[in-house]
Amino acid sequence: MAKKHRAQRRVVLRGLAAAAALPLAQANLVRAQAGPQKITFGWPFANGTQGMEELAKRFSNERKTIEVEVQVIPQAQVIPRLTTAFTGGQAPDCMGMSDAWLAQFANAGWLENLEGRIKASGIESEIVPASMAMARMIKNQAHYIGFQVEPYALYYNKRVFAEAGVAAPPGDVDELRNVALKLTDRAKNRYGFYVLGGSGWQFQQWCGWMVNHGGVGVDNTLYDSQGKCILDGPRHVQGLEKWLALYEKDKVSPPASATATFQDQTNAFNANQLGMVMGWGAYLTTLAQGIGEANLGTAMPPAGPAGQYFFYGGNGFAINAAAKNKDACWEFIRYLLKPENNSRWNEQYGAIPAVQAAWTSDWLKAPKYAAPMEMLKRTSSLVSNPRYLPGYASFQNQFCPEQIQKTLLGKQTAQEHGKAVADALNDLRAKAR
Amino acid sequence: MVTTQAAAPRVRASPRQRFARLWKREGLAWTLVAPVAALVAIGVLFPLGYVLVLGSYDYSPYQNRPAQFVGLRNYGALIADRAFWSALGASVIWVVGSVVPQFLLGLGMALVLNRTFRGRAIVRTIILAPWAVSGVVTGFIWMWLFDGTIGVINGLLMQAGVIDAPVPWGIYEGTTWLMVLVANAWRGAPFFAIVVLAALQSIDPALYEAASIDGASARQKFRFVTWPLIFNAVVIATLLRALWTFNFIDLLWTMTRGGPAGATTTLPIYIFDVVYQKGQFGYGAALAVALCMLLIVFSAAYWQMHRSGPSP
Repeated sequence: MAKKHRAQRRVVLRGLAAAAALPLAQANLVRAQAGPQKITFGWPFANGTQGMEELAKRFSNERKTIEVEVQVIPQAQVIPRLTTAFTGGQAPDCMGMSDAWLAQFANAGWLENLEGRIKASGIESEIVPASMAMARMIKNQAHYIGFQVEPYALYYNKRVFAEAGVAAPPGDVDELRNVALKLTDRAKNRYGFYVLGGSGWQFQQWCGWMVNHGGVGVDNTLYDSQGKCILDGPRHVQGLEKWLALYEKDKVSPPASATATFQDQTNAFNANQLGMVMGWGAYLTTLAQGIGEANLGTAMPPAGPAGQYFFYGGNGFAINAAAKNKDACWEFIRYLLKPENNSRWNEQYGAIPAVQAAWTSDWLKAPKYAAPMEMLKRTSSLVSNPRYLPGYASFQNQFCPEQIQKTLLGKQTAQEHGKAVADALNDLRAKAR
Repeated sequence: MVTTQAAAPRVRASPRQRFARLWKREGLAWTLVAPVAALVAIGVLFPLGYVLVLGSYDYSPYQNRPAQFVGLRNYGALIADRAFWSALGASVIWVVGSVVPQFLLGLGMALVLNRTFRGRAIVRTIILAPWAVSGVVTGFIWMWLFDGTIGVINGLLMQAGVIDAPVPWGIYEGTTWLMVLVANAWRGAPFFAIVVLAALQSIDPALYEAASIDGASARQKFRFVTWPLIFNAVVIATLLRALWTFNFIDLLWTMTRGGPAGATTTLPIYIFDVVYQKGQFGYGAALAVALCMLLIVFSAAYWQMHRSGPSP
């Protein structure tokens, strides 16, 4: 009995040892087979996956020495997923990167500083300056190289405009109010403008009204020369009051918009129930599909007494600081940024290519691109919001919606709102120091 | 004839001999169990221990700063953090408001499904279908149904003449809670229905026959036969559902993002913000430990209450 027991045990232990040795043997086998260098490319955006996969495939076929594996990361989970991957040493070798996430990943030291490669390749002259400014938001060093830029523009429904007898989009905030009043017909559940209060870039909307009334700070930032946030100034608060009046007094926005998200705004606009909305460049495709290409109009955001300032954003390509094949990654990125590739991909996505040579493409001559491209050329009007500060993501995604919802729903005044926002931005800056 | 044998004096085995004997007897079993035990240790105990340790550090990887040991300071900050208490309050509303209606609906569904009628299999499938839908998808479905501008519910209510203008459900605290709790009840009730139905089907029909002979009414049958016999299943199901609901983030996040004005920011949403948006991993870990402790205390109290409840 004991002998049998021992024999059984020996068999099991041998089996376990063999199982443990198997991966080692397999690794040796893999090493022995020489093949193309493999790099992984993380794609963390909801749109444009197919286009990016096609480009990766084409690159791998053309360059026999490098093979790109595209790993799709769900956009809604990108920060937790990439954070876990970076800390665990499992992040992709290179990846798409939003300006909104640079503060997290570049400040953590997880992204390669691309300054050397940019200088050596001379690519900087090819990229739109607004994109390069975003790339250098952390310690003035480029941590990504842009592939698209998006101004925060005004979009309008030409059919709704025509039905209300409005000929042209508004040029300033007072005109916007008048046009919105004309477009609004609450009995038909139709509204002139969407006062966005929920998550998804409402900050750019109400803050736009504030800076267009009170002006920007030093170097187009939201801070004055003393390093204090300017958003609690009386003229800035006055701008916010005008924006709030659109919702509270004029009622030109759907009541639900106070807490609604960017997606809700898109749905309502595509249902032809809104005259005007504000949003990013990728909207050009989504909204055109919703209301019809011929009905979609674009314009610059309305000017205020202090001027006409715009917010802008953009995405780029970054390299993992711990990647083994950084040269191969850079070669792939350079391929993606060839004017023809950058143009083709952005055409599908609907944003403005970061490569200036791609701006001559025919599709960019469509009227709907005129205003966004003009905005990007007016670099002195581009607001530099402090996305580089650690904790800015929480400020914009959690703090701002909560504050603006309180203000829109009458739980605090515009002045209290301005102070809360300025204090939060001052606090973020102080902590960063 | 009975013979007796004198017991031989016992020789005390050395520890080595005892180990050899134990190994001979149980060695194979332990060898086979070892990989699973190792997996449990790696998958469950290590993360728990890690979070516990992390909770006593000031750790912000997004700022590329080395972690600093701060002892219990994070827990002190937690007690003084108004956002934590507000999120805890929202979590309590979320759990109680979810589990109670889900249980009542599930119980009703189970009682109906326990009867014999034509098309019962189809009705069962339809009733149980929401349980198979993910939280995010459920969130989107109900968010669009309740949409304040183009939502179907507003459209139906307007057509029926109940309201004159669309109700902006998502801007008031009360209607927002109503919206998310209805969505969660829709998704969670089938779980109770499955569990209660299984318990109902294990009841011997002879008990009901005996109760009928004794002249018991339907209400009395439920009170004195059904309820005591399904009670254990109900306790376990409500406890599990409460724990899951406490930790849920998907449905609530999809529908409200914690709004309006932070009213539906539950503890998991708050922890998500602290960790991944503020980048305060140490403080976030302390919050997670606090949440875990709260759930352990809640489970223990609930179990204690169960022991003093009816028994079959």
